[in-house]
Amino acid sequence: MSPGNDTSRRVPTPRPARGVRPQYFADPNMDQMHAMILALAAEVSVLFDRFDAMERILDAKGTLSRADLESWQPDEAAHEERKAKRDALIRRLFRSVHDARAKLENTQPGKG
Amino acid sequence: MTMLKQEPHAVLPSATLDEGARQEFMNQVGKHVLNEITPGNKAVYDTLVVPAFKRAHGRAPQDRHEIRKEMVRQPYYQMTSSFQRTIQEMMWNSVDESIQRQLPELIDTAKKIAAGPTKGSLTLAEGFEIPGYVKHNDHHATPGGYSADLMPDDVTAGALYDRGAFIYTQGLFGARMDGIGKAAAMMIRQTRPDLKPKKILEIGCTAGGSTTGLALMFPDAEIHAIDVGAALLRYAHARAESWGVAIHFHQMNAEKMTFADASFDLVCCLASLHETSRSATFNIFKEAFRVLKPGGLFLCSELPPYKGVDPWTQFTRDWDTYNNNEPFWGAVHELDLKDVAAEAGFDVAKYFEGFGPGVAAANQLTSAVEVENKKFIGSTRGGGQAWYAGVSK
Repeated sequence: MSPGNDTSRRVPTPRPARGVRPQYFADPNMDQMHAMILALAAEVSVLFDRFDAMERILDAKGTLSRADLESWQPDEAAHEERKAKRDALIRRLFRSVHDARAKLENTQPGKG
Repeated sequence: MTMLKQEPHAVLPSATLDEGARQEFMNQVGKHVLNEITPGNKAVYDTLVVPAFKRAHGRAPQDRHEIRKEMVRQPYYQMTSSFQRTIQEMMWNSVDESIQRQLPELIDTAKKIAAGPTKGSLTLAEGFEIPGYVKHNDHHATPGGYSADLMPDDVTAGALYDRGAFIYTQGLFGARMDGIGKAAAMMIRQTRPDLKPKKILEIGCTAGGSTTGLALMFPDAEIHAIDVGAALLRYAHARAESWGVAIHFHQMNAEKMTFADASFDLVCCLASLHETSRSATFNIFKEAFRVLKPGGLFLCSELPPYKGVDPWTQFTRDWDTYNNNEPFWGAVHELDLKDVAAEAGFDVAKYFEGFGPGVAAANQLTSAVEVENKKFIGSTRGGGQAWYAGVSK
Protein backbone atom coordinates (compact mmCIF):
# COMPACT_ATOMS: atom_id res chain seq x y z
CA MET A 1 0.00 0.00 0.00
CA SER A 2 1.53 3.34 -0.98
CA PRO A 3 0.53 6.68 0.51
CA GLY A 4 -2.31 8.24 -1.43
CA ASN A 5 -2.66 11.94 -2.18
CA ASP A 6 -5.60 12.49 0.13
CA THR A 7 -3.77 14.46 2.84
CA SER A 8 -7.09 15.58 4.37
CA ARG A 9 -7.53 12.05 5.70
CA ARG A 10 -4.20 11.68 7.48
CA VAL A 11 -2.13 13.99 9.67
CA PRO A 12 1.58 14.75 9.22
CA THR A 13 4.02 12.67 11.27
CA PRO A 14 5.92 12.69 13.56
CA ARG A 15 3.57 14.41 16.01
CA PRO A 16 4.62 15.59 19.47
CA ALA A 17 2.83 14.37 22.62
CA ARG A 18 0.96 16.99 24.66
CA GLY A 19 2.28 17.52 28.18
CA VAL A 20 5.67 18.21 29.73
CA ARG A 21 8.76 16.90 27.92
CA PRO A 22 11.61 16.89 30.49
CA GLN A 23 14.98 18.41 29.67
CA TYR A 24 17.62 15.93 30.79
CA PHE A 25 20.89 17.75 30.21
CA ALA A 26 22.17 21.19 31.23
CA ASP A 27 22.57 22.01 27.56
CA PRO A 28 19.26 21.39 25.73
CA ASN A 29 21.21 20.74 22.54
CA MET A 30 22.49 17.58 24.18
CA ASP A 31 18.87 16.37 24.45
CA GLN A 32 18.51 17.06 20.74
CA MET A 33 21.74 15.18 19.96
CA HIS A 34 20.49 12.11 21.86
CA ALA A 35 17.26 12.09 19.89
CA MET A 36 19.07 12.46 16.59
CA ILE A 37 21.64 9.74 17.33
CA LEU A 38 18.94 7.25 18.28
CA ALA A 39 16.92 8.17 15.19
CA LEU A 40 19.99 7.55 13.02
CA ALA A 41 20.62 4.21 14.70
CA ALA A 42 17.02 3.20 14.00
CA GLU A 43 17.36 4.06 10.33
CA VAL A 44 20.63 2.10 10.05
CA SER A 45 18.85 -0.89 11.55
CA VAL A 46 15.98 -0.49 9.08
CA LEU A 47 18.51 -0.41 6.22
CA PHE A 48 20.26 -3.54 7.49
CA ASP A 49 16.93 -5.34 7.65
CA ARG A 50 16.10 -4.22 4.10
CA PHE A 51 19.46 -5.43 2.75
CA ASP A 52 18.94 -8.70 4.58
CA ALA A 53 15.53 -9.16 2.99
CA MET A 54 16.96 -8.42 -0.49
CA GLU A 55 19.77 -10.92 -0.02
CA ARG A 56 17.38 -13.61 1.13
CA ILE A 57 15.06 -13.07 -1.84
CA LEU A 58 18.02 -13.08 -4.25
CA ASP A 59 19.36 -16.28 -2.67
CA ALA A 60 15.99 -17.94 -3.09
CA LYS A 61 14.93 -16.60 -6.51
CA GLY A 62 18.01 -15.09 -8.17
CA THR A 63 15.95 -12.04 -9.00
CA LEU A 64 14.30 -9.24 -7.07
CA SER A 65 11.22 -7.08 -7.54
CA ARG A 66 9.92 -4.27 -5.35
CA ALA A 67 6.68 -6.21 -4.89
CA ASP A 68 8.60 -9.29 -3.66
CA LEU A 69 10.52 -7.11 -1.27
CA GLU A 70 7.51 -5.26 0.17
CA SER A 71 5.55 -8.44 0.77
CA TRP A 72 8.49 -10.41 2.18
CA GLN A 73 8.05 -11.79 5.72
CA PRO A 74 10.79 -13.51 7.73
CA ASP A 75 10.24 -17.08 8.83
CA GLU A 76 11.10 -18.03 12.41
CA ALA A 77 14.78 -18.75 11.63
CA ALA A 78 15.26 -15.55 9.64
CA HIS A 79 13.50 -13.60 12.39
CA GLU A 80 15.96 -14.92 14.98
CA GLU A 81 18.99 -14.20 12.78
CA ARG A 82 17.81 -10.65 12.13
CA LYS A 83 17.15 -10.15 15.82
CA ALA A 84 20.67 -11.29 16.70
CA LYS A 85 22.16 -8.91 14.11
CA ARG A 86 20.06 -6.06 15.51
CA ASP A 87 21.25 -6.90 18.99
CA ALA A 88 24.88 -6.77 17.82
CA LEU A 89 24.22 -3.33 16.30
CA ILE A 90 22.66 -2.13 19.56
CA ARG A 91 25.66 -3.40 21.53
CA ARG A 92 28.06 -1.54 19.22
CA LEU A 93 25.91 1.58 19.55
CA PHE A 94 26.03 1.49 23.35
CA ARG A 95 29.64 0.22 23.74
CA SER A 96 30.82 3.30 25.66
CA VAL A 97 27.73 3.21 27.88
CA HIS A 98 28.39 -0.40 28.86
CA ASP A 99 31.99 0.55 29.65
CA ALA A 100 30.70 3.35 31.90
CA ARG A 101 28.32 0.97 33.68
CA ALA A 102 31.07 -1.61 34.25
CA LYS A 103 33.33 1.11 35.67
CA LEU A 104 30.60 2.34 38.02
CA GLU A 105 29.86 -1.17 39.23
CA ASN A 106 33.54 -1.75 40.01
CA THR A 107 33.84 1.45 42.02
CA GLN A 108 33.99 1.33 45.80
CA PRO A 109 31.32 3.49 47.49
CA GLY A 110 32.50 7.07 47.93
CA LYS A 111 35.52 6.66 45.62
CA GLY A 112 33.79 7.46 42.32
CA MET B 1 11.56 -16.49 21.84
CA THR B 2 9.08 -16.77 19.05
CA MET B 3 7.95 -13.93 16.85
CA LEU B 4 5.55 -11.49 18.44
CA LYS B 5 2.29 -11.67 16.53
CA GLN B 6 -0.82 -9.74 17.38
CA GLU B 7 -4.05 -11.51 16.45
CA PRO B 8 -5.41 -9.90 13.27
CA HIS B 9 -8.74 -8.09 13.14
CA ALA B 10 -10.36 -5.85 10.55
CA VAL B 11 -8.83 -2.56 11.74
CA LEU B 12 -5.41 -3.75 12.94
CA PRO B 13 -2.84 -1.59 11.12
CA SER B 14 -0.41 -3.47 8.91
CA ALA B 15 3.26 -2.54 8.55
CA THR B 16 5.40 -2.19 5.44
CA LEU B 17 8.83 -3.84 5.40
CA ASP B 18 10.54 -0.69 6.72
CA GLU B 19 7.79 0.18 9.22
CA GLY B 20 7.98 -3.32 10.65
CA ALA B 21 11.77 -3.12 10.85
CA ARG B 22 11.58 0.24 12.61
CA GLN B 23 9.06 -1.12 15.14
CA GLU B 24 11.24 -4.19 15.75
CA PHE B 25 14.23 -1.94 16.42
CA MET B 26 12.29 0.24 18.86
CA ASN B 27 11.11 -2.85 20.71
CA GLN B 28 14.61 -4.30 20.91
CA VAL B 29 16.49 -1.11 21.76
CA GLY B 30 13.91 -0.27 24.44
CA LYS B 31 14.37 -3.67 26.03
CA HIS B 32 18.16 -3.34 25.87
CA VAL B 33 18.18 0.06 27.58
CA LEU B 34 15.76 -1.08 30.26
CA ASN B 35 17.48 -4.36 31.07
CA GLU B 36 21.13 -3.65 30.38
CA ILE B 37 21.70 0.08 30.80
CA THR B 38 19.28 1.52 33.38
CA PRO B 39 20.32 -1.01 36.10
CA GLY B 40 23.66 0.87 36.22
CA ASN B 41 21.83 3.62 38.10
CA LYS B 42 21.89 1.50 41.26
CA ALA B 43 25.70 1.68 41.26
CA VAL B 44 25.49 5.46 40.68
CA TYR B 45 23.24 5.69 43.72
CA ASP B 46 25.28 3.40 45.98
CA THR B 47 28.75 4.63 45.07
CA LEU B 48 28.20 8.31 44.31
CA VAL B 49 24.90 9.62 45.67
CA VAL B 50 24.59 7.93 49.06
CA PRO B 51 28.16 8.69 50.29
CA ALA B 52 27.90 12.35 49.21
CA PHE B 53 24.43 12.69 50.77
CA LYS B 54 25.68 11.16 54.03
CA ARG B 55 28.59 13.61 54.13
CA ALA B 56 26.20 16.53 53.65
CA HIS B 57 23.26 15.40 55.84
CA GLY B 58 24.63 12.73 58.17
CA ARG B 59 22.16 10.16 56.82
CA ALA B 60 21.10 8.41 53.61
CA PRO B 61 18.23 9.79 51.48
CA GLN B 62 15.01 8.70 53.17
CA ASP B 63 12.39 8.83 50.44
CA ARG B 64 12.04 8.70 46.66
CA HIS B 65 11.79 12.49 46.43
CA GLU B 66 15.20 13.00 48.05
CA ILE B 67 16.67 10.28 45.84
CA ARG B 68 15.22 11.86 42.73
CA LYS B 69 16.58 15.31 43.57
CA GLU B 70 20.10 13.86 43.64
CA MET B 71 19.77 11.40 40.76
CA VAL B 72 18.59 13.97 38.19
CA ARG B 73 21.98 15.65 38.62
CA GLN B 74 23.89 12.44 37.80
CA PRO B 75 25.15 12.21 34.19
CA TYR B 76 24.47 8.47 33.95
CA TYR B 77 20.86 8.91 35.10
CA GLN B 78 20.37 11.86 32.77
CA MET B 79 21.58 9.70 29.91
CA THR B 80 19.45 6.63 30.70
CA SER B 81 16.32 8.74 31.21
CA SER B 82 16.96 10.59 27.97
CA PHE B 83 17.34 7.24 26.16
CA GLN B 84 14.15 5.87 27.69
CA ARG B 85 12.06 8.95 26.93
CA THR B 86 13.44 9.29 23.40
CA ILE B 87 12.86 5.61 22.62
CA GLN B 88 9.31 5.89 23.94
CA GLU B 89 8.66 8.82 21.58
CA MET B 90 10.26 7.05 18.64
CA MET B 91 8.28 3.87 19.32
CA TRP B 92 4.97 5.75 19.20
CA ASN B 93 6.09 7.67 16.11
CA SER B 94 7.04 4.42 14.36
CA VAL B 95 3.49 3.15 14.88
CA ASP B 96 1.76 6.46 14.16
CA GLU B 97 3.60 6.89 10.86
CA SER B 98 2.37 3.47 9.79
CA ILE B 99 -1.20 4.25 10.90
CA GLN B 100 -1.35 7.61 9.13
CA ARG B 101 -0.27 5.94 5.86
CA GLN B 102 -3.29 3.64 5.96
CA LEU B 103 -5.69 5.81 7.96
CA PRO B 104 -8.23 6.39 5.15
CA GLU B 105 -8.61 2.62 4.72
CA LEU B 106 -8.85 2.03 8.48
CA ILE B 107 -11.53 4.72 8.80
CA ASP B 108 -13.53 3.31 5.89
CA THR B 109 -13.36 -0.21 7.32
CA ALA B 110 -14.50 0.97 10.76
CA LYS B 111 -17.39 2.94 9.20
CA LYS B 112 -18.50 -0.04 7.17
CA ILE B 113 -18.49 -2.28 10.25
CA ALA B 114 -20.37 0.29 12.36
CA ALA B 115 -23.03 0.59 9.63
CA GLY B 116 -24.00 -2.96 10.53
CA PRO B 117 -25.22 -5.50 11.08
CA THR B 118 -23.57 -5.41 14.52
CA LYS B 119 -23.79 -7.46 17.69
CA GLY B 120 -22.80 -4.62 20.00
CA SER B 121 -23.15 -0.86 19.56
CA LEU B 122 -21.32 2.46 19.51
CA THR B 123 -22.83 5.55 21.13
CA LEU B 124 -20.88 8.79 20.78
CA ALA B 125 -21.98 11.88 22.70
CA GLU B 126 -22.69 15.10 20.80
CA GLY B 127 -20.57 18.00 22.11
CA PHE B 128 -18.82 15.74 24.62
CA GLU B 129 -16.49 17.56 26.99
CA ILE B 130 -13.13 15.79 27.39
CA PRO B 131 -11.90 15.80 31.04
CA GLY B 132 -8.89 18.07 31.62
CA TYR B 133 -6.58 15.26 32.71
CA VAL B 134 -6.68 13.71 29.24
CA LYS B 135 -7.36 16.85 27.22
CA HIS B 136 -4.08 18.57 28.08
CA ASN B 137 -1.81 15.61 28.65
CA ASP B 138 -0.91 12.67 26.42
CA HIS B 139 -0.33 9.77 28.81
CA HIS B 140 2.72 7.56 28.24
CA ALA B 141 3.84 10.19 25.70
CA THR B 142 1.44 8.81 23.09
CA PRO B 143 0.90 11.52 20.46
CA GLY B 144 -2.72 12.63 20.80
CA GLY B 145 -3.17 10.44 23.88
CA TYR B 146 -6.59 9.01 24.63
CA SER B 147 -8.61 11.95 23.40
CA ALA B 148 -7.35 13.29 20.06
CA ASP B 149 -10.02 13.12 17.35
CA LEU B 150 -8.05 14.20 14.31
CA MET B 151 -10.72 14.19 11.60
CA PRO B 152 -14.25 12.96 10.88
CA ASP B 153 -14.61 9.29 11.85
CA ASP B 154 -10.98 9.14 13.08
CA VAL B 155 -9.73 5.86 14.58
CA THR B 156 -6.09 6.86 15.15
CA ALA B 157 -6.11 6.89 18.97
CA GLY B 158 -7.44 3.33 19.11
CA ALA B 159 -5.08 1.99 16.47
CA LEU B 160 -2.12 3.71 18.10
CA TYR B 161 -2.96 2.28 21.51
CA ASP B 162 -3.72 -1.24 20.24
CA ARG B 163 -0.56 -1.53 18.17
CA GLY B 164 1.75 0.68 20.25
CA ALA B 165 0.89 -0.93 23.57
CA PHE B 166 1.47 -4.36 22.04
CA ILE B 167 4.97 -3.35 20.94
CA TYR B 168 5.69 -1.31 24.09
CA THR B 169 4.79 -4.21 26.38
CA GLN B 170 6.36 -6.74 24.02
CA GLY B 171 3.15 -8.68 23.77
CA LEU B 172 2.67 -8.91 27.54
CA PHE B 173 -1.12 -8.46 27.30
CA GLY B 174 -1.48 -11.36 24.88
CA ALA B 175 -2.13 -11.74 21.17
CA ARG B 176 -5.64 -10.30 21.57
CA MET B 177 -4.49 -7.61 24.04
CA ASP B 178 -7.10 -9.01 26.41
CA GLY B 179 -4.90 -10.31 29.25
CA ILE B 180 -5.84 -7.59 31.73
CA GLY B 181 -9.55 -8.37 31.30
CA LYS B 182 -9.03 -12.12 31.57
CA ALA B 183 -6.84 -11.69 34.68
CA ALA B 184 -9.56 -9.53 36.26
CA ALA B 185 -12.11 -12.24 35.53
CA MET B 186 -9.88 -14.77 37.31
CA MET B 187 -9.64 -12.42 40.29
CA ILE B 188 -13.43 -12.12 40.37
CA ARG B 189 -13.84 -15.91 40.32
CA GLN B 190 -11.42 -16.17 43.24
CA THR B 191 -12.85 -13.41 45.41
CA ARG B 192 -16.55 -13.55 44.56
CA PRO B 193 -17.23 -17.08 43.28
CA ASP B 194 -20.94 -16.48 43.94
CA LEU B 195 -21.11 -13.56 41.50
CA LYS B 196 -22.66 -14.45 38.15
CA PRO B 197 -22.79 -11.04 36.50
CA LYS B 198 -25.56 -10.48 33.96
CA LYS B 199 -24.57 -6.92 33.19
CA ILE B 200 -20.96 -5.68 33.22
CA LEU B 201 -19.44 -2.22 32.80
CA GLU B 202 -15.81 -1.46 32.08
CA ILE B 203 -14.67 2.09 32.85
CA GLY B 204 -11.75 3.36 30.74
CA CYS B 205 -11.76 0.67 28.06
CA THR B 206 -9.31 2.41 25.64
CA ALA B 207 -9.12 0.24 22.49
CA GLY B 208 -11.32 -2.42 24.08
CA GLY B 209 -8.62 -5.04 24.67
CA SER B 210 -9.47 -5.77 28.29
CA THR B 211 -13.19 -5.55 27.44
CA THR B 212 -12.93 -8.39 24.94
CA GLY B 213 -11.17 -10.35 27.70
CA LEU B 214 -14.13 -9.78 30.04
CA ALA B 215 -16.52 -10.76 27.24
CA LEU B 216 -14.62 -14.00 26.69
CA MET B 217 -14.72 -14.89 30.38
CA PHE B 218 -18.36 -13.87 30.93
CA PRO B 219 -19.97 -15.07 27.69
CA ASP B 220 -23.54 -14.78 28.98
CA ALA B 221 -23.26 -11.22 30.26
CA GLU B 222 -24.31 -8.01 28.54
CA ILE B 223 -21.13 -5.95 28.33
CA HIS B 224 -20.84 -2.16 28.31
CA ALA B 225 -17.65 -0.12 28.10
CA ILE B 226 -16.98 3.58 28.38
CA ASP B 227 -14.13 5.92 27.56
CA VAL B 228 -13.77 9.57 26.64
CA GLY B 229 -12.14 9.52 23.21
CA ALA B 230 -14.34 9.08 20.12
CA ALA B 231 -11.42 7.80 18.02
CA LEU B 232 -10.66 5.18 20.68
CA LEU B 233 -14.25 3.98 20.78
CA ARG B 234 -14.79 3.81 17.01
CA TYR B 235 -11.73 1.60 16.79
CA ALA B 236 -12.64 -0.50 19.84
CA HIS B 237 -16.12 -1.13 18.43
CA ALA B 238 -14.88 -2.12 14.95
CA ARG B 239 -12.24 -4.35 16.51
CA ALA B 240 -14.72 -6.20 18.74
CA GLU B 241 -17.29 -6.55 15.96
CA SER B 242 -14.73 -7.97 13.55
CA TRP B 243 -14.19 -10.80 16.06
CA GLY B 244 -17.94 -11.16 16.54
CA VAL B 245 -17.78 -9.97 20.16
CA ALA B 246 -20.87 -8.09 21.39
CA ILE B 247 -19.87 -5.00 23.38
CA HIS B 248 -21.77 -1.76 23.82
CA PHE B 249 -19.32 1.15 23.70
CA HIS B 250 -20.31 4.58 25.02
CA GLN B 251 -18.50 7.90 25.00
CA MET B 252 -19.00 8.88 28.62
CA ASN B 253 -17.21 10.58 31.50
CA ALA B 254 -16.78 8.05 34.33
CA GLU B 255 -17.21 10.90 36.83
CA LYS B 256 -20.78 11.55 35.68
CA MET B 257 -22.20 8.55 33.89
CA THR B 258 -25.64 8.57 32.30
CA PHE B 259 -26.50 4.99 33.31
CA ALA B 260 -29.40 4.59 35.72
CA ASP B 261 -28.79 3.73 39.38
CA ALA B 262 -28.29 0.01 40.12
CA SER B 263 -27.68 -0.97 36.48
CA PHE B 264 -24.72 -3.36 36.76
CA ASP B 265 -23.67 -6.49 38.65
CA LEU B 266 -20.01 -5.82 37.99
CA VAL B 267 -18.07 -2.61 37.32
CA CYS B 268 -14.38 -2.85 36.41
CA CYS B 269 -11.77 -0.13 36.15
CA LEU B 270 -8.65 -1.89 34.92
CA ALA B 271 -5.29 -0.12 35.01
CA SER B 272 -7.06 3.17 34.33
CA LEU B 273 -7.28 5.12 37.60
CA HIS B 274 -3.67 6.27 37.30
CA GLU B 275 -4.58 7.99 34.01
CA THR B 276 -7.14 10.22 35.75
CA SER B 277 -6.67 12.48 38.79
CA ARG B 278 -7.19 12.46 42.53
CA SER B 279 -10.59 14.15 42.42
CA ALA B 280 -11.63 12.00 39.44
CA THR B 281 -10.77 8.83 41.40
CA PHE B 282 -13.13 9.89 44.22
CA ASN B 283 -15.86 10.71 41.69
CA ILE B 284 -15.39 7.43 39.81
CA PHE B 285 -15.83 5.42 43.02
CA LYS B 286 -19.02 7.40 43.81
CA GLU B 287 -20.38 6.72 40.35
CA ALA B 288 -19.43 3.04 40.51
CA PHE B 289 -21.34 2.79 43.79
CA ARG B 290 -24.37 4.47 42.23
CA VAL B 291 -24.58 2.31 39.08
CA LEU B 292 -23.92 -0.98 40.93
CA LYS B 293 -26.78 -3.20 41.98
CA PRO B 294 -26.83 -4.23 45.65
CA GLY B 295 -24.49 -7.21 45.96
CA GLY B 296 -22.56 -6.10 42.90
CA LEU B 297 -18.78 -5.77 42.75
CA PHE B 298 -16.50 -2.87 41.83
CA LEU B 299 -13.05 -4.16 40.89
CA CYS B 300 -10.02 -2.01 40.07
CA SER B 301 -6.63 -3.23 38.99
CA GLU B 302 -4.02 -0.62 39.66
CA LEU B 303 -0.35 -0.02 40.26
CA PRO B 304 0.53 -1.51 43.66
CA PRO B 305 0.89 1.00 46.52
CA TYR B 306 4.32 2.32 47.48
CA LYS B 307 3.81 1.65 51.18
CA GLY B 308 6.23 -0.97 52.46
CA VAL B 309 8.44 -0.66 49.38
CA ASP B 310 12.04 0.52 49.88
CA PRO B 311 12.78 4.11 48.74
CA TRP B 312 15.11 3.10 45.88
CA THR B 313 12.50 0.79 44.33
CA GLN B 314 9.87 3.49 44.82
CA PHE B 315 12.14 5.91 42.98
CA THR B 316 12.64 3.55 40.02
CA ARG B 317 8.91 2.80 39.83
CA ASP B 318 8.16 6.50 39.94
CA TRP B 319 10.08 7.19 36.70
CA ASP B 320 6.86 7.50 34.69
CA THR B 321 5.51 10.31 36.86
CA TYR B 322 8.23 12.67 35.71
CA ASN B 323 9.32 11.19 32.39
CA ASN B 324 6.37 9.53 30.70
CA ASN B 325 3.56 12.10 31.00
CA GLU B 326 1.94 10.28 33.93
CA PRO B 327 1.29 13.12 36.40
CA PHE B 328 -1.02 11.02 38.62
CA TRP B 329 1.22 7.91 38.63
CA GLY B 330 3.08 8.65 41.88
CA ALA B 331 0.03 10.03 43.68
CA VAL B 332 -2.23 7.05 42.95
CA HIS B 333 0.40 4.79 44.54
CA GLU B 334 -0.07 6.75 47.77
CA LEU B 335 -3.85 6.91 47.72
CA ASP B 336 -5.63 4.54 50.09
CA LEU B 337 -8.45 3.21 47.93
CA LYS B 338 -10.17 1.86 51.05
CA ASP B 339 -10.72 5.46 52.16
CA VAL B 340 -11.91 6.38 48.68
CA ALA B 341 -14.38 3.48 48.72
CA ALA B 342 -15.66 4.51 52.16
CA GLU B 343 -16.22 8.08 51.04
CA ALA B 344 -18.14 6.82 47.99
CA GLY B 345 -20.61 5.02 50.29
CA PHE B 346 -19.25 1.47 50.18
CA ASP B 347 -19.10 -0.64 53.34
CA VAL B 348 -15.35 -1.00 54.04
CA ALA B 349 -15.97 -4.38 55.66
CA LYS B 350 -16.55 -5.57 52.08
CA TYR B 351 -13.31 -4.02 50.78
CA PHE B 352 -10.28 -6.09 49.82
CA GLU B 353 -6.94 -5.32 48.21
CA GLY B 354 -3.81 -7.19 47.27
CA PHE B 355 -2.03 -9.14 44.57
CA GLY B 356 -3.93 -11.50 42.33
CA PRO B 357 -3.79 -13.16 38.92
CA GLY B 358 -1.75 -11.28 36.33
CA VAL B 359 -1.58 -11.35 32.57
CA ALA B 360 1.00 -14.16 32.43
CA ALA B 361 -1.51 -16.69 33.79
CA ALA B 362 -4.43 -15.05 31.98
CA ASN B 363 -2.74 -15.23 28.58
CA GLN B 364 -2.95 -19.01 28.68
CA LEU B 365 -6.74 -18.91 28.96
CA THR B 366 -8.77 -19.27 25.81
CA SER B 367 -12.27 -19.73 27.20
CA ALA B 368 -14.46 -19.19 30.23
CA VAL B 369 -14.70 -22.96 30.76
CA GLU B 370 -11.03 -23.11 31.73
CA VAL B 371 -11.62 -20.61 34.53
CA GLU B 372 -14.39 -22.76 35.92
CA ASN B 373 -12.25 -25.87 35.85
CA LYS B 374 -9.07 -24.58 37.40
CA LYS B 375 -8.06 -23.07 40.67
CA PHE B 376 -5.91 -20.12 39.73
CA ILE B 377 -3.13 -18.66 41.74
CA GLY B 378 -1.10 -15.88 40.15
CA SER B 379 2.58 -16.66 39.75
CA THR B 380 4.87 -14.63 41.94
CA ARG B 381 7.27 -12.98 39.53
CA GLY B 382 7.43 -10.64 36.54
CA GLY B 383 4.13 -9.86 34.87
CA GLY B 384 2.71 -12.74 36.89
CA GLN B 385 0.74 -10.75 39.39
CA ALA B 386 -1.48 -7.74 39.26
CA TRP B 387 -2.63 -5.60 42.16
CA TYR B 388 -6.35 -5.29 42.80
CA ALA B 389 -8.70 -3.30 44.96
CA GLY B 390 -12.30 -4.47 45.09
CA VAL B 391 -15.41 -3.70 47.06
CA SER B 392 -18.90 -5.17 47.02
CA LYS B 393 -22.03 -3.10 47.40
